[in-house]
Amino acid sequence: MSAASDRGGRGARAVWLARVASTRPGVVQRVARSFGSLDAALDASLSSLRTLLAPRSAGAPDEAPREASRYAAALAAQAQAPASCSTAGRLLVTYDDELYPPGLRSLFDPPPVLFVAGADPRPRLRALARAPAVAVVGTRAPSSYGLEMARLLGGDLARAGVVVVSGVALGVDVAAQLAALAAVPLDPVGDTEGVPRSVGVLGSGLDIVHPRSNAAAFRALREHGLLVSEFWPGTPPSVWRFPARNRLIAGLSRAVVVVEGSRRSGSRITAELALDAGREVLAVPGEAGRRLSEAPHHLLRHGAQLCEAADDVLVALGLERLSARAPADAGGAAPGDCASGPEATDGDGPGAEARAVLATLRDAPGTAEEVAARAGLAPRAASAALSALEVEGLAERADGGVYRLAR
Amino acid sequence: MLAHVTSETLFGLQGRAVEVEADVVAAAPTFSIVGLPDAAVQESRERVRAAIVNSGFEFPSRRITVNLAPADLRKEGPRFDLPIALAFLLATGQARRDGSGEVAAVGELGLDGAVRPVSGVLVVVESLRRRGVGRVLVPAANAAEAALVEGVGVVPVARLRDAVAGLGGGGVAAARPDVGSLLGDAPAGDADFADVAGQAVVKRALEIAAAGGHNVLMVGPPGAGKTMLARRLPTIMPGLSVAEAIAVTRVHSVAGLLPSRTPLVARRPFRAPHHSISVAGLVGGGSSPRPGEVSLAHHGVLFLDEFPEFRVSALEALRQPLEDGEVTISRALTSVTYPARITLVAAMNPCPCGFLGDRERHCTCPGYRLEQYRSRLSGPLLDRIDLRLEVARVPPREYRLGGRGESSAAVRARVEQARHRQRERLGGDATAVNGHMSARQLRRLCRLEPAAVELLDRAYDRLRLSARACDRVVKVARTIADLEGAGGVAAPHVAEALSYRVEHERR
Repeated sequence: MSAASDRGGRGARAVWLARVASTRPGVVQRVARSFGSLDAALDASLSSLRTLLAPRSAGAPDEAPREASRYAAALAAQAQAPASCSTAGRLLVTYDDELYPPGLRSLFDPPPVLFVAGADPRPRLRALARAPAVAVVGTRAPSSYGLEMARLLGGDLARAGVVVVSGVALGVDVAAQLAALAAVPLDPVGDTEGVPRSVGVLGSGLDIVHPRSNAAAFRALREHGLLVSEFWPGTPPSVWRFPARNRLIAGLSRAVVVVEGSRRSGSRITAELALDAGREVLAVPGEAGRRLSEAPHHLLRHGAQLCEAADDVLVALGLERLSARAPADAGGAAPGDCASGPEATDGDGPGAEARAVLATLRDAPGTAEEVAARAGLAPRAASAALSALEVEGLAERADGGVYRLAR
Repeated sequence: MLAHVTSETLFGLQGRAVEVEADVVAAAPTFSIVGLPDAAVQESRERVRAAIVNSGFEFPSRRITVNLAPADLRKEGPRFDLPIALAFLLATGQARRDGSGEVAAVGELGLDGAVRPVSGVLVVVESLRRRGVGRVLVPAANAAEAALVEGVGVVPVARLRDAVAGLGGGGVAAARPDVGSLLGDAPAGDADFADVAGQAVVKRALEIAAAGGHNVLMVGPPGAGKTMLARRLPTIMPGLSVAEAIAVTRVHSVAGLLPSRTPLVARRPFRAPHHSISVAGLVGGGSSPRPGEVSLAHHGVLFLDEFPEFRVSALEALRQPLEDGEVTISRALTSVTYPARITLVAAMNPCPCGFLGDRERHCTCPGYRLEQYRSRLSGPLLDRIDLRLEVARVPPREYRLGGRGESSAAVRARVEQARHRQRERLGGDATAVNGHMSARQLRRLCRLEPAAVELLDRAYDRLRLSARACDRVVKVARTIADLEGAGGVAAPHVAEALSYRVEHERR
């Protein structure tokens, strides 16, 4: 067997395995366990793979064998073309491909092939291999605090040049990713050319938009980031595919940050998969006793690092802190810097009342009502001071009329 | 023989003269009513016949024709029972009129001869006075409101026999109630600002709303007390003037909502229709147009809870009354105008589940539902709302610790002073308030101090306010200055006003 056709054989088997793995849970894991690794399995003969994966019950259809030869043919055609087959913004990357993300290879059960979508997928995949990537994951139904933290982390990590990886699910995932896509990277540390700001890992075929309400995020990810999936185009989302997807999120990232989640949430699964793959795990603390704090607090209890801001992640990865990096940036709007804010703005800036209000906001955000009570001001004085700070750009008003320091 | 009695029918908030003529001739016995009567008027034949017989009069077997003139005006309702019966009794010689001046009558009859109350008696009597009618027989239950009108002798009648006596010059005219003391003695009701625990910022904002006649949007989770707060807004608004009270009473009387034997609506109305209400129910309508909730809330508060759940068509229909202070309902041949000078209090949850921004519970609304929910608010309607208030839930601790706040009376005293200042500046009638200022008045009368101008300019840029939003901020700032007794609008006034801004449209 010549080297070229042998290589084509590995590719064909990878495609065949991916096809089977799109419809049945645990396929890659079984193959990897049986042959020692996926790499070894791809060297095995198709018939031995087929025997291993033959449906146990006679009733279940064995959907794949015929397609195997078809894709073998397709792969043979691809062998003539450059390393991978692609059509406008779509790419199929096999395990042996040089574009295959190195992070995934360290998984015990890496996807045999990866479907990739996005403008310029090739340079972006290459850039992804160089750039640090961090997963921000959490519940689909976050509190406003969790949502805010997701946005903050997503945006700041992207500003620091980190690729934000997540699952494009509702809530924390999409909030972090949209914030990352909207962020403007700071003075690039290294070569950030072509680095996707965010990567969405799907639990369905790349052509399936799920959930529908995230359609805009899907579009933005195609345009400014990447969408990846191990599942065959057209594969619908289903319960078992999301945990499978989570191992890709862990694999692609150097660290996983869990924002909010209940005891049995998918984010906890992602964090555990990340630990298995030797990644850093960080958790954003929540309020004690709340259901959504269960997952992060469980992780913190078992050794995850505390994450209050993007800097915590950057430090954990040995990267330069964001706060250290932006001295030239106008105004120093970082929360810690506000002490000098009011006086510094200009002569008739906020007066004593505004300073008192600012001090209470530095302790914790609050509604006008709470701020008035904590600062010991009349309601109208507190309202006026809050608006003045808002106009100065020192405070901002969030959902529910909660004021907080501007970021 | 021929006889006639004068009466009135209602047309919107106006009375129209109706002459009730009865002709009784010896011919085959029939009883017919002509002159564009509706079904209720047609049925009055049965009530009149029974009431006459049961009151001990005779109902002869003759040919009876009743004509309601003018014949081209549609007559509705049972209000003509009494004049028809009286015209018949006059025509058959069983009753007699005394010579002194004209006597009008209005009322529904029971089969036993009792005279029952009808709607709109206040309006009817006012119209009779304009026509120069000196005496009017009204159902005893309506006598109190009828007696509000000066210059007409109001004779309350409880039974048909009383009415016959009244026609002959008998009966005692009802005494005119003392409107001033009625207004002064208006029971304060059981709602008071002092009942509300915490919510100091919201209460302050409602004080501004009451002082400047500003419309309000309250946003907050279920159970935050939005309804409780709104219900107390009328208690801090200035008391009704005599003219206002009579205007309110007119609408309630025409709608048939004035409680029996109550002369006057003495307290500012508070109307809180359910969100399933129809357009006609909200702004008025029907084949013979009746006043809607917005008119029943005239000079008071219209509270629309679950604001985005109202039909879009109903909310759109609110625009005219909010703009003009009245509603015109047009029909093919006629149009009727009802007053509707209201303070609108709209309330909504921050999101469909109600917990967006709440720190105890989290919002479970998918983004598209949120979009849908917010898009239900129409921009043009929000343009009429000057204050937006976030109402958060008060933790139980504050219920226990919070002492009683300021009473409604104390707040109302400040509101009345602020209104007085506005009246002097705006030079209008008692209803002249900052909330109703025109754009021209705003430019001319709301001078901002230089620091205030600067703040507003910066807010315009930084908070991306629209020009209209800026105008609203200035109006509210003017009211805040009025509450303080300040002549010019200073920066702190603008700053506070900014915290209540309505932000539906950003540049």
